[in-house]
Amino acid sequence: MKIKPYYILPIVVFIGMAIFLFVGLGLNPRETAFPLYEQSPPDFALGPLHEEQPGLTDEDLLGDKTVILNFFASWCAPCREEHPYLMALSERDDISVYGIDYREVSREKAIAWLYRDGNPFALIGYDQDARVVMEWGLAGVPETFIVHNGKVIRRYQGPLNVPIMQHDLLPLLEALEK
Amino acid sequence: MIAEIGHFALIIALMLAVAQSMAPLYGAWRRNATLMALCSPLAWGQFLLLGVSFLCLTYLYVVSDFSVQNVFLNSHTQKPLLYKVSGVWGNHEGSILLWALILAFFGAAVAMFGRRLPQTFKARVLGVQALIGVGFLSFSLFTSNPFIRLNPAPLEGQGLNPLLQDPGLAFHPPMLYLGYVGLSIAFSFAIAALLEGRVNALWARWVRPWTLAAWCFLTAGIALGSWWAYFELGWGGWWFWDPVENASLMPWLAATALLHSAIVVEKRETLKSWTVLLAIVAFSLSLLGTFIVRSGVLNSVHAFASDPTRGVYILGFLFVVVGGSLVLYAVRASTLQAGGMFAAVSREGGLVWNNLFLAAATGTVLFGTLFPMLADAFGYKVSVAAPYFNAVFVPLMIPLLLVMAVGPFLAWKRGNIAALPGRIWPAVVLLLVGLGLAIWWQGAAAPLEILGLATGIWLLASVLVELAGRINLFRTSLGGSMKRAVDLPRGAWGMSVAHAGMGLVVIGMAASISWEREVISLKYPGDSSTLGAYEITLQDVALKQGPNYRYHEGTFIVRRDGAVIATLYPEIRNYTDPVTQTTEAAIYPLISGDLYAVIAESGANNIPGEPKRWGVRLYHKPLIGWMWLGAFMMFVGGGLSLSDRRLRVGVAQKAKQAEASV
Repeated sequence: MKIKPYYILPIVVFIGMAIFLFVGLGLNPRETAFPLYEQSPPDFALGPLHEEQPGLTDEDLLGDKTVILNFFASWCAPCREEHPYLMALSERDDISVYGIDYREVSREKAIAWLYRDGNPFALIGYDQDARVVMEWGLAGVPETFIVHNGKVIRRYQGPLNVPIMQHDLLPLLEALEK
Repeated sequence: MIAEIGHFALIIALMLAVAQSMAPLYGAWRRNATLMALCSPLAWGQFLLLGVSFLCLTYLYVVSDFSVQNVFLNSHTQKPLLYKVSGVWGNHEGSILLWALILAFFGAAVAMFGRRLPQTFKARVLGVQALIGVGFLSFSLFTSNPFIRLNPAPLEGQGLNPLLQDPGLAFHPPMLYLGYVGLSIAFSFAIAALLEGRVNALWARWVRPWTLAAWCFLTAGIALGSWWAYFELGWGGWWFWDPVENASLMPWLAATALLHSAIVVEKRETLKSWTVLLAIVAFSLSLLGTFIVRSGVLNSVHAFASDPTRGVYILGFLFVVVGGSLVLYAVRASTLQAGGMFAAVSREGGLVWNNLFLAAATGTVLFGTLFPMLADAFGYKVSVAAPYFNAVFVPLMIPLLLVMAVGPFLAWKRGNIAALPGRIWPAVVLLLVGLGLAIWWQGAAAPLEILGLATGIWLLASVLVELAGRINLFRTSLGGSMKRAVDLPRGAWGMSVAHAGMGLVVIGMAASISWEREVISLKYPGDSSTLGAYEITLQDVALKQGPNYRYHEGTFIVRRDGAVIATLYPEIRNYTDPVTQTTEAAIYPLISGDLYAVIAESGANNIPGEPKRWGVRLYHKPLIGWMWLGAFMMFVGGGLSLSDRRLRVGVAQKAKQAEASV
C-alpha cells in the first residue's frame, strides 16, 4: 500500500502535541502563568480593617522579606479552613504574612473572627470596593500570592491545604531562602 | 436502593458497550450478518440503561439524598428545583454521565434513522461509536463514579456554586455536550469510511445532517455560555478567551469547516481526504476540550474541581482515539480517490478558502490555548490573553467573512468573476449606506473597529442581495417573487438565515466594542449619572429575601430628555450555602443597544450616621442584542437546512440504490 507523506503529517503533529500534553500534566499547574506572574504588584493603597491599625499599600510588599499576601473575608468558609496554615506561616521570621479583606458584610464580624481565632496578618488592607481584588485578577476568595524581591511569583486559587503546603509552598520558601 | 439501581445500570451499559464495540466490527470484517445485526439492539439497550442511570441520579438530587457523596457535595435542600436538577450535570461526575448518555442517545439515533444505511457501514459506525462509549463509561465507573455512598449520611448538602445557579447556565452544558458528542457521529462515519476505503457523495449526505445538528447545538451552547458571562459575572463582557471558552470554540470552528467541505464532497466528489480529516479533527478537539476542562492543566476562571488522575485517563483515551484514527487515516487516506477539478474562482474555490481560514483560525486558537503549557515545558512562564487572540484571530476572520459574502454568488466548477460586479453592486450600496448611518448615529471609531463593522454589514447586505437575486425580486411581479421564495429549498434558506445571523453577530460585536460608554462611580441614593443621552438615577437600595439567598436590590431610574423610559433593578446576592456573593446585572434592551447596570457594596469612605454609598457601574452597549439575535438565527438556519427534504428522502432512495449495487 502506498502512503503519501502528507497523510502522515496529522499523526506526527498529534504525537508531538500529545507529548507536550503529557509533560504538561506532570508540570505543576500552580507554576503556570497568571497575568501578574513575574510582575511588580499593582499600585494600591487600602485603609485598615481596624481603625487603630495601619492599612496596606503596594509599598509594603516590596521589602526584603518574602511576602505572603492572602485575600480573605469573614463570610468565606474555605478561608476558615486555611486559617491554621496562615497562623503557622505567621510564626516564621523569614516571611511577612499580609491580608486583604474583601467585601465584608460587617467589619465588626471580621475583627471579631480574627480576635477569636487568631490574627495571622501583620498588616491588613480593607478592600470593600473590590477594586484591588480586580487589579489582582481574583476569581474568588480565598486566594494567596507570594511576592519575592518585588515580583509576584506564585498564585494559589482556593484555600491552602496539605498538598499545597507540602509539595509547593514550603519547598518554595526553602528554595527562596538559599 | 435508587443509587444502586443507577450504579448497576451504568455497569451493564458498559458491558453492552464492550459487546457493541466488538461484535459488529468483527461481523463487518467477516461479513457475518448476524453479528452485524446486533449493533442496533445493543445501541438501544445502552441508551435505555444510561437513561435509567441518569434518571436515578436526577431523582437522588431532587429528593436530596445526601447519603450519596455526589449529591452531598453539590446540592442543598434549600435550592430551587431547577438548580437541583441542573446540579446533576453541574459537577464532574454528573457531567461525565451526561456525556455518556448523550453519546448513547446519538448511537440509538443512528440505529433508528440509519435503517437504510448499508449493513456493514452501519455496523462499523456503531462499533466505533461504542468504542468511544467504552472509554467514557469506564472513565465514569473507575475514576468518577457519581453513585458512591457516604456513611453516615450528612444532614445537609454543601450546595452548588451560586455562580452556576442561572437559567442560562442550567442549559449551557447539555447544549454544549449535544454539540461535542454529536461530532462523535461524524467521527464514527469518517472512521467507518476509512475502514471501507470509500467516501462518496452519498457518504457526505449521511454525514452532513449529523454534523449540522451538532453544529446547531454547539452554536446554541456557546451563545448561552457567553450570555451567562454577560448577565451573571457582571463584568460587562461576553468573551474572555479563557481556555474553557476556547475549548468550545475550537470544535465549533472545525465543525463549521466540516459542514462546508462536506458540501463539496457531496456536489463535486472532491476534497474527500480533507473532509475525513476534518471529521476526525472536529471530534478530537471536543475530546481535547474535555481534557482541558477536566484535568486542570491550564489556568482558567472556571472553577471546576480538577484531578490529575482523571487527566491521565483522559489523555490516554485521547491518545488511543485520536492517535489510532490518525494512523488509520495515514494508511488509508490515499485510497480515497479525488473527483472533479475546479477553478480557483468558483463555489468550491470559495469553500476551500472558507476551510483554509477556518482551519488557520482553529490552529491559532489551539496554539494560543496550549502555548502557556508548551512554554512551561521549556521553562518559560507566559500567559496568553485577549491581545494575542485579537491580534491573530480577527485578521483571519475578516477575509473569511469577505469570502463568505462573495462565495454564494459564484457558480460551481468555474465562477464568472467578470459578472460578479454586475450582481453584487447593490450590496456595495447597502454597505455604504449602512456604514454611513452607523457613523452618523454614533460617531467615529477606531479604524479596525470600523473595518469589523463594515465586514458585518457587507456580509448581511450580500446575503440580502443574493436572496433577492434568487427570488427575482424587482425583476418579476411581487407575487412571482413570493412564489419563488416559497419554492426555494430549505437548505438555501438555511444558508441565507445562518449567514445573515453571522453578519448580525459581527455587527453586534463591532458596534458594542466601538461605541460602548461606561460610568463607574460611588453614589448615594438619589445621585444621578449621565451616560450618553441617558440620565440614570440611583433611587434606592433595599434589602430583600430570595429563595435561598438575601439580596440588595438597587433601583435605577433611566430618563431621556426628562422622560422616564426604564427602571433597572440590579442585585447583589448573598448565598449562605456555600457562602458566596454574586452580582446580577440588570439589563434593559433598547433598540439602540443594552443599558447595563451593576451595583456593588462599598464600605470605603462611609461616614457613620450618614447614608451609605454604593459602587455603581453603568454601561451603554450599542447593538449588543444583535449578537444574541444573530446567534439565534444561526441556530435556526442550521435547523432549516436540517429539515431540507433532500437530506431525508434523498438519503433513503440513494442508499437503497447503493445497497442494491453492493
